[in-house]
Amino acid sequence: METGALKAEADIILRINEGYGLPFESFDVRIEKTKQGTCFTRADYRLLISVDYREAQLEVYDELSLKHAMLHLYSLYIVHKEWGLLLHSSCVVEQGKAYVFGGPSGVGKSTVARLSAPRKLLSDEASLLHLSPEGQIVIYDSPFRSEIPRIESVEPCSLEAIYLLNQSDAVAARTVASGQAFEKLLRNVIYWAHDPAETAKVVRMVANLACRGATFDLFFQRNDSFWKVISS
Amino acid sequence: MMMQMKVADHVQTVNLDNQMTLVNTESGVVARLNEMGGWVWSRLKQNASWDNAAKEAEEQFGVTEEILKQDIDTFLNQLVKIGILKPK
Repeated sequence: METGALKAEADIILRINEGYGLPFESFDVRIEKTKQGTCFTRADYRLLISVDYREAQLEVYDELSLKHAMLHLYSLYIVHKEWGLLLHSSCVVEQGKAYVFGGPSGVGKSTVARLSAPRKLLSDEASLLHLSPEGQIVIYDSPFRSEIPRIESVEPCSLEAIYLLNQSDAVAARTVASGQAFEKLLRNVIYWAHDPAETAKVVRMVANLACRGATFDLFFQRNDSFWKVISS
Repeated sequence: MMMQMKVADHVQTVNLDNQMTLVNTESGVVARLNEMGGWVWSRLKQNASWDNAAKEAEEQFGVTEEILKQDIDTFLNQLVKIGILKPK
């Protein structure tokens, strides 16, 4: 198909080239705005997205760079469309509902996902949240996995609750007031801020997420006893 | 003092559960306001008169006019420092 015809039909056209840069060094990204669009450069990848978000060019060093760059592009695109957010978290399905477990690196997102077996997983590090204009929040099967491979596709599920993880000797869950939840959830969004109007979309979506009143601090031990607290 | 300040560009106010949070979507600064901070911010945004502010503050927070002035000064200076407000 010709590029012109593709452009008319596709939401976005992505071109990927290999042979760019150096192996992964750090997560630092340099952002430059040009007439063509916005360019995000890291040692191991370069992503150029057009002003209208209809075309993107990706140059990568290896498979890891490709994964990170795709995550980057994905987050920019779904925010631009105000479709939803990528959240640093794992997500487990229990009785048809999605339970999201968020927190900083190393807090136990993957551990919680593993300890939740045999329940199905929607993500182990980057949950894909869709915030519909009608106010529904649905979690989709995340294409971005870390340590736990995706073995089967899982149907999207409505969000039941978000648990912010804290390792502890005790097991308990405490409601987080929505004002505080907003701040905590904002820190968990996977996003590279590059434009105030786009960041404003993130802020609006996180505020919507926080005002649902379903965010909890979860204090957990490294076993599956936290599910008793969640179930109760 | 209040008249010489204005809200910086790209500042969004999020008010959830009586907790007001300000986000500068250009710099990424996030500021969570306490109850009195939220009250001052609302007045600033509404361009409300400060003539009766002392009386209102005394009723709402039990602070004297002198303390109110000090608190507002400190608050506004902090907001200027973090780029939420800027001089007019």
